[in-house]
Amino acid sequence: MKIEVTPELIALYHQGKCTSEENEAVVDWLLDPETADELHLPDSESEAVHKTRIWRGISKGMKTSVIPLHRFGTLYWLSTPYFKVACAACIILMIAAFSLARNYINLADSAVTFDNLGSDSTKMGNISNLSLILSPKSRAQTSTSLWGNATQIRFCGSLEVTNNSGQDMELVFRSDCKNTGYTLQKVMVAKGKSYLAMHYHLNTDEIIVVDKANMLNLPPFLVTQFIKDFKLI
Amino acid sequence: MARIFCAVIALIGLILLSCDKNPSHKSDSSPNRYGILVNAVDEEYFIQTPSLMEDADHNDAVLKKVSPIIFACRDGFYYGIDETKKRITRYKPDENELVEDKICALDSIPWKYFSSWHDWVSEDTLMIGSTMEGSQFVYALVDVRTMTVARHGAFDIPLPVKPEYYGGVFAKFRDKRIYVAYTLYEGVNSMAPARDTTYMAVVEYPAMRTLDLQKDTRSTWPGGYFLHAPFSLINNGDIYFLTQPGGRTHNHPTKATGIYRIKKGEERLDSTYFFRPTDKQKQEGYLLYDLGRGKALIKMVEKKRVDRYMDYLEKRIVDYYVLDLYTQKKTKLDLPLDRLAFENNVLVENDQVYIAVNTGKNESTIWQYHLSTGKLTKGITIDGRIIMINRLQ
Repeated sequence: MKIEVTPELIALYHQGKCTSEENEAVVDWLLDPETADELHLPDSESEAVHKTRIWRGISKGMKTSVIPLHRFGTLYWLSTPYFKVACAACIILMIAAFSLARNYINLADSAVTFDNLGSDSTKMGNISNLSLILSPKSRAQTSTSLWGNATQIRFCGSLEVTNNSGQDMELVFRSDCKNTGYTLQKVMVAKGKSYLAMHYHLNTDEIIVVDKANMLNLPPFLVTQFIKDFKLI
Repeated sequence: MARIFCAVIALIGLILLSCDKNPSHKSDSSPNRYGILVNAVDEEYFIQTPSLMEDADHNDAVLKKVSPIIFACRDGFYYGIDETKKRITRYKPDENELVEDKICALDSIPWKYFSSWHDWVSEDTLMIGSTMEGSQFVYALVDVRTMTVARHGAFDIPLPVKPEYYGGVFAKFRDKRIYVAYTLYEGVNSMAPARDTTYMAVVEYPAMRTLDLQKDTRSTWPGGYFLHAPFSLINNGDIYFLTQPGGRTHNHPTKATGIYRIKKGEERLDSTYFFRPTDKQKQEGYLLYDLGRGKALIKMVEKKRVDRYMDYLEKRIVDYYVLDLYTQKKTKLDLPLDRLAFENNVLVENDQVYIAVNTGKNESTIWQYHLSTGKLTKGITIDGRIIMINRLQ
């Protein structure tokens, strides 16, 4: 038996309370261009009264709660699942845009600063999943992106970072020195691994980051510096 | 974790691709003539193969990690050093495994890995030397038959005066003399260039007494600070050694890569010989591999390929050149660009030179270079970065 599409049924449809047969009937009705745009009002209600209310509502800037059921009306579209999908798509796009921008914007939800600028000895520091050893006259600030796994480390001087998180993690090293010509350096640090990060200048200002196990990849005077600072090897 | 697992599985699978269809390169009947040390997923593994040119079935190979730093291979044994455990271990190669054979304790002697070298002073005597991280030259003589330290001590070479450290570092034994070359640099928190001078001490062996200390300013930063890497060779009794004043080691603003000679029967740097294989403005040279018959192989870096120091570590920037030490000519090999690694990735077998080129982050291809004809032939490709190739039989 054909199910009749009524305002009550459409209301149930928007609330997601229809049976599969009712859903199908509503969708058929919505998609069928031949369907007459007729209202099936309760016997006690006059079509003329509703029309008057509708026009009055429109003239007052749509302030009434009357729901227009014309398929191509603005309010109709606002009440359809398509609009919700569009809204969701916009939100997803915005999140994606923020995710892309997170490497360029410091969106931090938990920044921790370790200051060793005034010291001639090393300084240890810990946050939940990282441990740091700062060289003398160094400073570091760690922060975690709101929408990403990468931990940002802004630093001046040099430091050793160990991943205690129990899983691989991405670290993004940036310079926090006054000279801003340094490029950032990203590394994927395996769990339990330690990395050394420092500033350097060969042809240009740069940040060097190496696995501590490959310390001899550093220029020799930096090797001697780390040996002295961290009692390595 | 999944990435590491996949890489290890890939390594265990060990894809060996044959690219050479020439039957003349068929391996002989003796299996596993070559030992290869390979680094994959930050771990080192040992494999054996009957041929460097043709595929072999390694699908059942189960590889075991090699923990210490393997720095030498001689008479079928490998030698590795573990600084934290303070010991040298002798290994015997077994099917895709280096089996611990004998241990030599170093716990009672001063020795540091950074800025060290090794050489053989006799068939059974291994000399390991160290600058104690740039501060003092020391040595230990290891009897490899018993794997015990026969002697150890300090050289009486003048100590560096603070804030300077020994830099570069080259040492070679020949005819009761040990030639020790170095330069000086400011060690900590200073980017000041190394001194423009090469110092060379002539040390009497076995008395270990310094007989002479020479200075030369044609180049600086002689040798390097890697225990295992080759920076020198002896050809017809003449010692040749390389200087590396490039950006990867310790950039010097004016000095270029060069090769010094100490002639047979003489104990001084040859003032008539200095081979400059690079153009200081355009190139830097690193490592010197002995090819025999007056030829050597060098890793050359075009400076235009290096913008940042990290390029030395991350990019493929190395060209290989064959050097004629007599005529001082160089010939570029038509090989893919390699990474700059201080490794023993070259093996010489009569007229054939095998060069392992790291063509990608996780792959190395062995090329065969025919020294007489100059012909290059592509051999096997192995997952990982090849760090040592040796002939086992």
